[in-house]
Amino acid sequence: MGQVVLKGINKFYDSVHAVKDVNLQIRDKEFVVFVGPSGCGKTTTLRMIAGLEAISSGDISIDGNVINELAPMDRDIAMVFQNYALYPHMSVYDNMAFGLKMRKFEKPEIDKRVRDAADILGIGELLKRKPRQLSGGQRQRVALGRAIVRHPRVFLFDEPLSNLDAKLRVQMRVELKKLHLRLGTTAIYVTHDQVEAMTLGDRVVVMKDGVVQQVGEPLELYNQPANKFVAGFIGSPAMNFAAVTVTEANGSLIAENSGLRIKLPDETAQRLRGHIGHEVTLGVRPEDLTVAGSSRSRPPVLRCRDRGGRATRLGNPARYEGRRGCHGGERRADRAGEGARQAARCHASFQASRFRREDRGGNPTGGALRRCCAVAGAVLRTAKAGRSVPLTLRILQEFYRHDDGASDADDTPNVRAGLPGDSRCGALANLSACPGRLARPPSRYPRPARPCRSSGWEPGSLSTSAAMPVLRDECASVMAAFFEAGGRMIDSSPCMARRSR
Amino acid sequence: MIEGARWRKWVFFYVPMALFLLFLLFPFYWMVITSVRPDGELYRPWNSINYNPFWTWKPTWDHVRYLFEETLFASWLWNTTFIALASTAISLVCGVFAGYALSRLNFPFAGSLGTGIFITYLVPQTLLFIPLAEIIRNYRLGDTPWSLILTYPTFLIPFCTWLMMGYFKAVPKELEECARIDGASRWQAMLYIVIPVAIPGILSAGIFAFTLSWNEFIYALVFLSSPEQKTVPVGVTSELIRGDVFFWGPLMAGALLGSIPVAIAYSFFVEHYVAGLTGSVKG
Repeated sequence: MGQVVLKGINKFYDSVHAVKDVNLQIRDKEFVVFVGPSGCGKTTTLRMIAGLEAISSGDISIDGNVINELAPMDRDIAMVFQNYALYPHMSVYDNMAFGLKMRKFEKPEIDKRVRDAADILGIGELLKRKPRQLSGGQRQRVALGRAIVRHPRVFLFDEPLSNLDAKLRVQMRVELKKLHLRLGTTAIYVTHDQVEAMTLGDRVVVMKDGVVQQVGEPLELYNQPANKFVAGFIGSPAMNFAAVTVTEANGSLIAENSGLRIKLPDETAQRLRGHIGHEVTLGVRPEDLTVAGSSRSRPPVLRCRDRGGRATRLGNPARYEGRRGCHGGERRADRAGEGARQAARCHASFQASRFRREDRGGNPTGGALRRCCAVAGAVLRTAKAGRSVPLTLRILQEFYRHDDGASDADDTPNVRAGLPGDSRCGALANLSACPGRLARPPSRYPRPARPCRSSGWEPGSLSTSAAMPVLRDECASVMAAFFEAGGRMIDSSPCMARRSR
Repeated sequence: MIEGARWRKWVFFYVPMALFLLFLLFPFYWMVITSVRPDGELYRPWNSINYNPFWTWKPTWDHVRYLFEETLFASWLWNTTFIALASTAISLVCGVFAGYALSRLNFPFAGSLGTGIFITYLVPQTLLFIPLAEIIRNYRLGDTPWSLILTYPTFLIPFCTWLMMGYFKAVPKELEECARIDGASRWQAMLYIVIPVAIPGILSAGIFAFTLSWNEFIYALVFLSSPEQKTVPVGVTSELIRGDVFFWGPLMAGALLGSIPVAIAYSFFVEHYVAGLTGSVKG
């Protein structure tokens, strides 16, 4: 058993209120992740559960017993620290056996448990070594082993993977998850990495400034963020926010700002009806931006090839990461069930500099791809400025913008929070954009502004980068758009495209 | 490293190094050469024909023999060793605990207490020996080794505490926290985890304390009076300088023999000692 309940937990450091009234119920066998920016109180909360920090007010109980006053040793918990905290003067075996020795276990029992744990973690060979003779990943395993030999009621993890290199971190993440499934022990995991949070957690607790912002399953956080902070924090690349004013024209609601004009779909419009004339922040997930013109039968093709050299360098060599449907042919929008949608979702990492446009014969061209790449105007700077591109976007979130000065605060409540039903609006609004100008970072790529010749929309409807910070993470959004339009990635190996579970 | 032409290496490395070594080692050389020269050479006037202060062709053990046979040098050595070891042990035990408490336990005024302890170390012994002499007299400890064993910690404990404080601060807090979650009490965590990890620091504090008490002069001079109780520094200077007559040979032999144990202690622990000074605990 390992049910942890936090009731009204507060923590003060002198005058600083570090953790504010945290209430949380962690079920037995659950994997709960605390996530938030640094200094948000997540580690402090964990340390209070561990007994390493005094609780200023409130109660923490494990399996119904209040443990506020218990010493760490009596709480029956195990903790894995960020720097592993291996005892440097002891061998791996002694490190793992230390907790059992302290608890006066019999020698044979200690030996059995240590060897079992070492087998589980694949460190049987290393038992005689000292910590300094181990690599980072091995130390991490030893630290895990030290936790699991004790068979505690609750595991506490304090950013255990953040000292590992990127590749190892992914690997250990998977192993941690497997380990949790195998052992079935309640786990509380602190991280600032939202990918870890989303992949590991049964439930995720998002914190900011000592306040719990939202508690929920990963997809719940993704699709129904409780406020703007959660919406912006969860999801990579981050959600785009556009500050707009809601106006009414011909019976329908229009959201607009200086360069953006969207006719709001009915569902959204209904919720926003009370805010006509007020400022509202629209949130758009990058993957909800699509190229309106392309279709399944005419998918744009993007060849990805590592050619090197300056001649084929098209954009910023920085790497981007985006989500896409696994095979370009699949359209996510109409798939049933969130789970299926998630399962089929892939992660693709690629280098913008490695993309070039080609026709089906493999010859460099504009052609069918032009439209797609035009969305990428900002990134794939070869797109000709002045040509307009139809964009489709789905509005996922709307946030009230208060007119009383506290306007764009992060904790602005989500209009949708708590509403039943499908979280996606699903409604589409058409926009058009001038390629090459869309969200282009103005300083880096100075280029004279040109008038926008649009198609289907009034000129200037999305004309400057300032108008809508839509493509916050430009390339990723573009790629999302590309794949959404049914684009396929050919020859993906050098791009490190990777299919996640 | 010094790069570039060969002459640069000579000018900026070898020559300064040689001068430095000469400067440091010459007193030792002088000590050694004086202690093995016969008296005839030692007291030869500087303007005599074959005056050669830096070398001898007739080395002799006479002075060392004199030291052990005609003076109480052996018991001085024993006294010094005993006193230095005992006071070092006392100071280390106190210093380790105090340093741990000051660096790890959050109690009110911990910071100012630490500073206060350090300030007591700064009070010069030349002032402190006057009230201490009164205390020693009142407790009738004068002329016993205990007068030194109990007074040396007055400057050794602050020193060790300060050194250990710094060292304990460098030991990651997580080690101890982890041990406590693993089921150790605070005391066990300190005993099994923190102190073993801090061994290099403890050793360097010990060596410093040992050297300080070995070389201590003023307290030993004031609190000890009978020749058989004296320590090496006091014994050598008080028994081998009679009036205005310096027995240079035995004097230097005594100084040489007195400095050897310290040198041995240093070289024996030098690896730990260096680690202690640079103070790194990598998990």
